[in-house]
Amino acid sequence: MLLFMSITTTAILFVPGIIVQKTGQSAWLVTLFSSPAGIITLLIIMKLGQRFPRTSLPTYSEIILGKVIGKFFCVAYALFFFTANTLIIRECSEFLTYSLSSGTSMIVLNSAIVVVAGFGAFKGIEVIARANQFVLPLFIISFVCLFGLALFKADYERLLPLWETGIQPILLNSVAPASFFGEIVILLMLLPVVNKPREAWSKGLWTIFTATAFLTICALMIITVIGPNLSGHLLFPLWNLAKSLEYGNYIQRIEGFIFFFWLTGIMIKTTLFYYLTCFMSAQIFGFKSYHPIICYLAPLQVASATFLVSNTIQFQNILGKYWPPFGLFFEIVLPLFLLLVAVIRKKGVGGSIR
Amino acid sequence: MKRKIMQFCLLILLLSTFFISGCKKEVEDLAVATMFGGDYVNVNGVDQFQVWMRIMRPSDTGKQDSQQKDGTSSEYLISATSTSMMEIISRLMIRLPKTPFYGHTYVHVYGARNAQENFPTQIGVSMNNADARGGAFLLVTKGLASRIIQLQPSGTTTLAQQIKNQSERIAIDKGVACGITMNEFSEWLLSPDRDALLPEIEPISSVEGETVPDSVIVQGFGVFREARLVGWLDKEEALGYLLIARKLKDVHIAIPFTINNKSLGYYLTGSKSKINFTITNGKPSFKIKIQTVGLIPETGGLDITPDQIKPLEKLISDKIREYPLKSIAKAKEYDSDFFGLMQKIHRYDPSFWQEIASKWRDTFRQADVEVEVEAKIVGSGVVSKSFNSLSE
Repeated sequence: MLLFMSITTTAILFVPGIIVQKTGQSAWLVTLFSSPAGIITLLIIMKLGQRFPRTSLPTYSEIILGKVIGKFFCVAYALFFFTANTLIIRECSEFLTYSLSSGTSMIVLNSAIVVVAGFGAFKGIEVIARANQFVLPLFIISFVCLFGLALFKADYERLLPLWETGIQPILLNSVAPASFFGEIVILLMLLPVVNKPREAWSKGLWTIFTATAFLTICALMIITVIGPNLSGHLLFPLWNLAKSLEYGNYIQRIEGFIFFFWLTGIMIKTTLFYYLTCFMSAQIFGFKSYHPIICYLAPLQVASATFLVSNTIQFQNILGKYWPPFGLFFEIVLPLFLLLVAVIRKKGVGGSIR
Repeated sequence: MKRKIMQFCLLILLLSTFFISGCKKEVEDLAVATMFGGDYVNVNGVDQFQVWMRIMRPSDTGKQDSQQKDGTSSEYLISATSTSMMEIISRLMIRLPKTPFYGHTYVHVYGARNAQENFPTQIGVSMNNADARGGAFLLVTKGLASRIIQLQPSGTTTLAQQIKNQSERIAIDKGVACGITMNEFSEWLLSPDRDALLPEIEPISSVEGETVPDSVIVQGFGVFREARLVGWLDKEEALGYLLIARKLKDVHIAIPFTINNKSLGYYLTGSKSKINFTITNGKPSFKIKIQTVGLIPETGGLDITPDQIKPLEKLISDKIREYPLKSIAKAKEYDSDFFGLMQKIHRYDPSFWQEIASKWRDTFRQADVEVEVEAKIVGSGVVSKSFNSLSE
């Protein structure tokens, strides 16, 4: 459930606009091509988890790579989670600025998000997971309502001609959503605390399939209701879609309903990434508790989310161009490197992933 | 102790809500715009944008209630003129005592000159507004939008509500136009394979024959070519467009026709169309098949027998066929493919589209378009025998 929320909540903000701009009406195929990234990441994590059962990343990275390189490796991951969380917070505040809180200063929004996320992180992973258990069904119901209402306004001919731009742009642009699927890499830290690790593989796969279906339906609805030409010109096409669904005087302004659960979902994701950054930092530096780190990181997190990116155009460029290869490096390349070194150096125990 | 501190903080937080004024005050602080009018005018020899807005009056002032009893509108007008749209927005804002809110602006009316010369700029600015709604209706008028926006509503609380009703329901129900939303129009404008159109709105007198306009009528279309208004479709051409491009359901469109100098009326209640095309020697030919269903409530004294149905259907089909043919002729005259015929080719024969993409307008001009209408009579209403026998 947490993985589904992590992949979907932010992938539906900026990414649809970016991919529709490049691939037009074939954009819905892009998510299908990007989901294997999640499966590869999951497979690598499961192999590592099977070699080092009930052991967290900071511990087994030191076993595999040695104490010094292992520490550097984990610091890199802590920075990765920190950077990812910075982008999530910024995405959330950018979306808030353009949707319902246009007059509010970015620093106020970021501070509010970090305070709430910090509180959640303080309470720990179980509270985050329980909160997600409550929020996820509501999030799904709200989007099922959105898609259900959009069905009546969909013009399926807008999906034609299929493959007009050829396979190359679709493959190239599948990198951006692939980095969101790769966020399943958080399992590196979560797997040791999962109650039933044997079910992690099947549930992880199930998450990737449902997230793929969800994102594909999102892209399909955007293209068929708004149109491929206009969607490519919009910053948040899904928000425009939610705003444009009106049926007489009875069903109007459903975006408020969607917005509430959407925002709650993003908050769960931010909280999770905040928790992972703090928890990992505590493990690296050998702190007894990660709680003090939450307070130290909060101003840093607010400052980075507010000042690292100066405007929306730059931010959209980062999400579309620079973040995907950077993200995939941490989501696929580094875990694969860790696994290969573990296999070569014969570290950990062998066996099936199931 | 820690728990008590937390509880205390929570209590303080809850108590602080007493000092928050809440949403109501914020809503009252908003100047809610219901309608937008955009013109392009010449002021002192300089071409400038002119924007008009209808703003809702707050309903809680006692003075306003008495004004409304006197027949005064529940809205007021503001306008500004400048060469830059951004400058206009700031001029409008400084005229308002409150923060403008465009989330209720459901109607945008544009003057003909504006639509001819500067439309992408206006639409771009409107779409860029975070409050703007993609479902807002756009309309175009032959004169100035200011003529429309200054009229008082008749039968509804606001003029925007009246125009929205006319665009959304009445115009299509009577087969004279249909509502086009901001999203739909923007998608057409940005499409590389088709042109756009917008419903036409004009001031009119409620009483036929009167010259002073006191209401509005949504009838006909303004035709665009490459984001510029190039011409107009009248009532009949508009019906032709609707029959080809829209699926009509539960409509009440009267189509008069004559047999033996007797006036009859076909009451069209529904229609659907199918566009097929073939490519012969690099030239496309379109075949449009329209199927309609309807009643004959006005028989001109004729009592229709079962064996008369088929010939009548043939007669009605021929009559209905005139509308799409007129509409197609206009499309060719304006060199504007507002039916989306070339879009069909793009969607269903992309390889041929690649060949003609750079010169698709030439291909459209040369394309043969054939129309076939199949009208069906499903009844004559609830009166089974004509009343005209009484006068005879």
